[in-house]
Amino acid sequence: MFNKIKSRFLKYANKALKNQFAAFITLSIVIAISLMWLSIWLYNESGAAQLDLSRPSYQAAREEAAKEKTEKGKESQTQEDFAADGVVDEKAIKQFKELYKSRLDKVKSDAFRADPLSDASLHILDNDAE
Amino acid sequence: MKILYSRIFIAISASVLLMGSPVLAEDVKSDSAKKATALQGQKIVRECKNIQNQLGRLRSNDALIRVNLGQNYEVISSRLMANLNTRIVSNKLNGSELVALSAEFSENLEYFRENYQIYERDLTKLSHMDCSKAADKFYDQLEIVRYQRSELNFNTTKLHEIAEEYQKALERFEETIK
Repeated sequence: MFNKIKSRFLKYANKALKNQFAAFITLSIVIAISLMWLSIWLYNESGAAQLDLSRPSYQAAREEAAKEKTEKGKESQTQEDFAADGVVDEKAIKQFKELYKSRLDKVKSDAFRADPLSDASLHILDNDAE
Repeated sequence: MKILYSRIFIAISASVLLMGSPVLAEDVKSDSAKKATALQGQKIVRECKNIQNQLGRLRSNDALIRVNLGQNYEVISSRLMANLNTRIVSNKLNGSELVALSAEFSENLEYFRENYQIYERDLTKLSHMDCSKAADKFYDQLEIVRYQRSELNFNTTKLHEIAEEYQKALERFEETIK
């Protein structure tokens, strides 16, 4: 069986050598499709797909993000980074605390509450009230 | 002889591939999860379109929440905590508690990222299911997504707790340098 496969492969390889241009085009297309498949796989596996707000289904999220960006634009002009070098004194700690607090206030601890997927929210309660 | 060995090899490979069915975490979770009642099944079929619209909006909102949370967590972890730790070390001060908390924060941040990926994939699968034809399967998948969302909520709560603990540790550290 392996000899059959080998002889078939050699037959096609010889044909390809006779038609080099066609073989080159075919091989280029195969490589392009393989690389495209690989990049789409990486895009999904790496988690980039979940963060990509340019996807068609995330229109509302994009608009909200653009609104927040214009509001943040005014804020970020006054925000600075905390440098990794320098002295550690009361002034530095105070600066750090301000930057840290401003970031922590933006973070909600219960951002993924169960409500949106509850039976009540989806109108599929197990009673005849609805 | 060669042909015989190759046939045996192919037969063994095929049987190994067919026998090994991995027990997925989703299978394990769905065994203990709630099942839809007959009334709920009818409601799912009736409200299918509304449910799918709601799930679409939820995906969109969750994506925005994830991006915003991710940005803030990233700044807290790598631009604030990490930079302060570097400064403390370079000034030869003892900030071991702060370093430990920032490591715990980074670790939990990684769990959050992984869990969000799993949650989003399951939510996408749910929103693409045809609930008008397979209400029971839809509800099973819904239970899986609810579980994933609760895991995510646990992650964000934990991150918030660690961040607040870091604030308190910073107060204690400040006392030592006064």
